[in-house]
Amino acid sequence: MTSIVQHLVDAASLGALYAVLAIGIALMFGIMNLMNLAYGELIMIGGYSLYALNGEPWPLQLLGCVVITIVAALLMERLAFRPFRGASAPVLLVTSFALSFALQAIATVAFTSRAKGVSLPGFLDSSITVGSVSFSSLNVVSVVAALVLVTGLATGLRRSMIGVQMRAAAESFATARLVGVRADKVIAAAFGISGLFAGVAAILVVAQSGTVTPTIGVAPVLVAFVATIVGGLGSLWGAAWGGFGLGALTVLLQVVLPTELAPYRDAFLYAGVIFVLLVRPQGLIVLRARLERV
Amino acid sequence: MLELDQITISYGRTAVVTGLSLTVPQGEAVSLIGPNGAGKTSTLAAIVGLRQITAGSVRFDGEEITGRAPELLVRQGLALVPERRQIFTTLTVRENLRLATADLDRVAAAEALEREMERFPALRGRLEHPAGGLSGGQQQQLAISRALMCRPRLLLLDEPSLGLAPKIVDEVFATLDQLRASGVTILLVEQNALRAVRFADRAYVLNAGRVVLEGTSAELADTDLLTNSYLGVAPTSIGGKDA
Amino acid sequence: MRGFLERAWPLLGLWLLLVVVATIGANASLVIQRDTIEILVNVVLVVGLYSFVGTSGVLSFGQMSFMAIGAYVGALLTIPSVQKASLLPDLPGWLQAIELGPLPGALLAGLVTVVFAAIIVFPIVRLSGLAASLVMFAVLVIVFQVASNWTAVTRGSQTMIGVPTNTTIVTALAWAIAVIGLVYAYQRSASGLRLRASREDDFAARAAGVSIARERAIAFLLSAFVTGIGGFLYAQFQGAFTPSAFYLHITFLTIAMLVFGGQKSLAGAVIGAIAISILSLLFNVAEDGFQAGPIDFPGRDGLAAAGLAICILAVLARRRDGLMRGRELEWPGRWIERRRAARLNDPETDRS
Repeated sequence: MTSIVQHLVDAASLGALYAVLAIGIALMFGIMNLMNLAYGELIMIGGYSLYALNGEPWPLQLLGCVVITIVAALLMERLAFRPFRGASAPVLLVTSFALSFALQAIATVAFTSRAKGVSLPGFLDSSITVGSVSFSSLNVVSVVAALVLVTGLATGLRRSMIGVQMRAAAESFATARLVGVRADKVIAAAFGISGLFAGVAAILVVAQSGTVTPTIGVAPVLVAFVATIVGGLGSLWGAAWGGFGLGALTVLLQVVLPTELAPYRDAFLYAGVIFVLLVRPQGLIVLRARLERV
Repeated sequence: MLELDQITISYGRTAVVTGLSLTVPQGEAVSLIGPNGAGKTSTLAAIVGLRQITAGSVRFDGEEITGRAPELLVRQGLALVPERRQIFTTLTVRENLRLATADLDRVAAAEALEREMERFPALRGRLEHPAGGLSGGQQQQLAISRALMCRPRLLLLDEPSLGLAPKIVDEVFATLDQLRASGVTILLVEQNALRAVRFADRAYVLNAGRVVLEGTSAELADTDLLTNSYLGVAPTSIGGKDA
Repeated sequence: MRGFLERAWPLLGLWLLLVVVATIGANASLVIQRDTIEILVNVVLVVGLYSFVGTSGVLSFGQMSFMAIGAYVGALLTIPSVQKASLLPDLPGWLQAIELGPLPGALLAGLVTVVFAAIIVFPIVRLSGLAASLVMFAVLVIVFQVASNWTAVTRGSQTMIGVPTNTTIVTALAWAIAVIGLVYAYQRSASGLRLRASREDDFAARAAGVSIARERAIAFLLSAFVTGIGGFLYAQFQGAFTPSAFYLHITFLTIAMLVFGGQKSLAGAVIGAIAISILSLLFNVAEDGFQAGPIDFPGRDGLAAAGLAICILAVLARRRDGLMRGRELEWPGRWIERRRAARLNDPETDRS
């Protein structure tokens, strides 16, 4: 019984992390048709800023990480992606890949490829015992952070002017411009919010291992990529659910697979992804307006 | 008010519009008609900066605006009601209208909203409904209102009668008449040639990317002339421009 | 004669280009000779990628799983039996005994890869767009995981060694010429032409006929064959490899090469592969004074990687459809004529 609760907690917290990752990528895809592989490097930048702020009081360290990541995201848009605005999806993908590659390389030059230790505040790493179940405070923080971000985003999209503009742009970018929505503003907002999500994700990811390397963002961005498509392109909530589902499924497989098959966990996970896509090629949640013509 | 001077629009290496010149004098209504694929929609798209113009220039109020971004043109008083309405189906009617008022302060935005509710009472009862649930005619009203929220001086419309029942089309043209009467300059692209010619002061016929006929509505009331220009039968007379 | 050259140039031109590259490389230092083989193997891989991705327009992220299969099957078939016994003691007897030469080995490796592709082809070609891309990516992950863990057959994540190094400049060039000829013939066949037509407007094509899935299937299997051969050549070039040689790095590298050259033409694939391979080798040289042999160039020293990435970005920013803009090589005389006509700004003669 206790181990079931344990596993549920693990599933929830990994799901929460993956949901945050997926939304970050889905935002940029929904508005600009950009599958941004360099999103992983935003997480890397967040991780290295945590490293750079090692030893500072934790509010400064964490806030600094998020702020630096947001700035990095805005710079990324302005310098790297603006010249490619309007390009086709494969070109954008290769561009984001080249960028990702370049950023990892620069980080390697600056910090070497060896893992750097990051000391994070205790509340991210302590053990909590409830009855006979003990889990990490990181689990709680992950779920709480994800909930805060998701509800914040939902509220912002619904209520604020820029939120309405973003939703319109996600439906039809050209028509939104016809009505006076400033392309630059909306795109910057999307990148900025993605940066925010990436900053928080960086904290959660680094907290898992306590270290940062140049390739720290590679695995998360793949997860986000898969979650977004499985969840349904163009739908933010689909991406979030896709991420959550992937996280939960990962933990489930970990628990359920017999030891000989355990190393094949990812193979099973991706076999599951294939199955979902064969059954529902448009993803799990379909946004009417963005139905890909199949 | 609006001048197109020998514009060419290319898609890759194919030119969809060649050497197009047209003028829309202030306060008048001009129609751009022609068969399917003639390049009418491309022309409107190019005027507002959504399509690239490879040669020639566009002037609005004497100022060169070739290639300027649509969101900037809206602020200068030039608005487009796109083909097939293209309202935001996942947004409510209110949100659709609100989008256009980013630059207005709260009072001005409320006034603009009220003004459009007066114009199209059907929208008032549906402010909080998702726009995707409106009927075709209502969506057209919404699209027009959306473009009018910021009081454009020049209104471009791309096939407003497309897919609408005749009675609704009558209403749409009645609205356009009112707009013209209130001083809005109009450039109308239409498939329904007779309607368009009757409504406008002047019309240009586009065929395969070139102007093949132009004239006042009186001159073009000759339906044979009109039909021939559509079918590409040469030569055309009265004010016709051969390629 | 001139007419024949004009018509055949898209193919002959590419062959000539490869021969030139091979000849220059063969007459240079030993290290550059190795680099030349690497370039030629990359050409085979990217041509394999193009034969599905470029022709159908489906951006598959998993074609390198075919490279993996070609490499591993090739290793199993060509490593001398004596060595196999100690490297892979758990192999079934008949597999232990096999010891093929490079040509039958390549063909059989390619064939096995096609069989593998045939198992997964039918569901995949019915999907479109990103769903297909992702399913192929999932296939890549699965192949990688299996290769990393099926120790009896692949030595798991341990290096597979002892593969006879039969890939020389000549053999790599021969195979490159052969696969280019094969893919060129395919893309000009009725099936290939139908597929390329569907590439521009998937929706319309599907409305026109269900057989698009069939055309894609053919391209998919062809791609598996060519990429499998590429994997075999790689295995017999390096002599040793691990599963990570066929995973993310090479996947994105080959896609970058294809998009850089222009994904809609065979010339784009070949020229993209050659250009990026040379660029990356140059960057490696410039950076640390001695050449590095392996195909992937992870952050051993980040500068080379960063330089290459920036190069790719710079070119793509100016030419979004790649260097070749989706066109095949054109006989120089014809090209000059066309440019002259275009300059006179007369759309009627600017045909292509």
